[in-house]
Amino acid sequence: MLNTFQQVDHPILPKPNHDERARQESAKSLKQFVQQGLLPGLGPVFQGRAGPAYTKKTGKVADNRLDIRKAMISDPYHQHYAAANRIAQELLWEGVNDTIDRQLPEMIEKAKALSAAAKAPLETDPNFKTPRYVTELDIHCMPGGYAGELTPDDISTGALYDRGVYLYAMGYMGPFNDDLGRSVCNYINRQLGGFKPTQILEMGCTVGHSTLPYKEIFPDAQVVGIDVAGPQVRYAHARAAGLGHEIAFYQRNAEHTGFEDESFDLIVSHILLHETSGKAMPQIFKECYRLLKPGGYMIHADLPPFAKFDPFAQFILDNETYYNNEPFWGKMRELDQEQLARDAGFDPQTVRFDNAPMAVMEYAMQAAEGYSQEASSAVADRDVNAGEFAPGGGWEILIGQKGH
Amino acid sequence: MRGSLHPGVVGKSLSVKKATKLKLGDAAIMGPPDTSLKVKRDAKGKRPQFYKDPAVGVEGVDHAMSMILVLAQELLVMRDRLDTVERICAAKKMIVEDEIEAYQPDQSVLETREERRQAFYTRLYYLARKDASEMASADTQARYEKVLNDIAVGDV
Repeated sequence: MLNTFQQVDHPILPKPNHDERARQESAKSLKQFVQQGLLPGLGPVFQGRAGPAYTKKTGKVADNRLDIRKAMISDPYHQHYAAANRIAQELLWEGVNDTIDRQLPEMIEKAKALSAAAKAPLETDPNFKTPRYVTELDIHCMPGGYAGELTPDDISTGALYDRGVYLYAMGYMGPFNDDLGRSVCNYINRQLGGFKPTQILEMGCTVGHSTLPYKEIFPDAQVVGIDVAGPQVRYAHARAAGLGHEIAFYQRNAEHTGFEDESFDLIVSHILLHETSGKAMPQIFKECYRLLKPGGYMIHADLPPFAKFDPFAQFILDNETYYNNEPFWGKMRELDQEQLARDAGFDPQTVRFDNAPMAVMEYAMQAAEGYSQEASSAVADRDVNAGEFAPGGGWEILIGQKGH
Repeated sequence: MRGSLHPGVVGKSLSVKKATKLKLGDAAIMGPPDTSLKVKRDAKGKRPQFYKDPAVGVEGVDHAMSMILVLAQELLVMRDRLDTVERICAAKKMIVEDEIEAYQPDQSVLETREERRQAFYTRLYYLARKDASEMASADTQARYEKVLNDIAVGDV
């Protein structure tokens, strides 16, 4: 599959020059190569070399993810795979930061102007206490992290995330990085028996890339995005305004949002939970329950539990924990998420994991730049393959409904 | 631009020095502090070491050297090609710099470039590809030696 997926420009997106764009594209291509060219060799290397060597040394068979890791960690092939993956990650941020460093003051002014012209509220708090699970490490090696702030009006890490996510996801999330939100919206329309949300909250919205489809697909609904990082919500607000959407963005913590009981009938999050903590996650589920009206739905699109994968696939997935500053990635997959949702009060009959098929084919149908029919269907229809972005062509979602 | 790797940190250490050691007038020698906005370039969190086992590390260097030289070769090919383009343009009195910045690749150009980049990375990692294929087909040193022996004295 030849991946030429392109991000669509919008008013607040950083504007790379020719060479910056070429560097960013080459980092994206390197990620694609690591998945398609190096990842498939890990299995044969484990079977043919690292596994037998481990057994010879320890007398044990490496049959769980932690022992497989011990067997593979010093194998040269695995070292190349892991190192290349890490280097691609570093190069993609580095490439985008070249552009942002060149343009930041004018980007900040542009964000202010876009936000000032929008009717929907933007709320940030200079005394906001960012939770430690977000600040202890720069998650997924993004310099500055989500909440890094160079100046009170800063949007730099929002801009970095918007362009960086496109490169990280290799465009699989569409020209507006919105595949996660769009796919969940499609799921709601097709699988929830005619449920039409009217008050929608997205937790951990970052730059609002997943938030926008909710406004587009449910135009009469009030849509609110919250995030713990000031630069993200500022950028999100300006980005939405630049794309012609009125969406409220607040700097709030999903564990205790400050909204009144029963304020929403749909609460969603997209790849948020694995970036929280063992303490925060159950609290977020309880907060969702408190905020929902009876009959309302909570939907989290995030990582499926390890139990759904064989031990070797688990080992590959867990590399993110060790090599990509994702401290909760592995542990989160060990939790019984369905039980957490039931414990928070959700109707046990409704709590389940399901698969929301990727909306990537829609981009091909709209003839978005670079979204060839062939490449889009290759992404949409592929088999589950641990270590690839969005394995299996769909997003794993956890659903719970609050009882009437 | 990229001259100062840690602008924030450098800025802080300068101001501490000013407060404790430097006298009035030193600011003129050092120039005004750089107050322009510069994003952070390093992600917080200890970087893992990928090639730490000494024995395996040596093997990794073999791979790394092959990749560095393939890279150097590709860079030289590119430089020669660009040089040719610039000379042809100059001979036709064409100034292409602005056009390069404004250039928007179409779908076929996107595909040509992505194909070229994937082919390049494939060449860059040719030893890793060989390694995985040896493992997949159980092509070992022992088998190699067995072939030597078979050919020398076996029924081959």
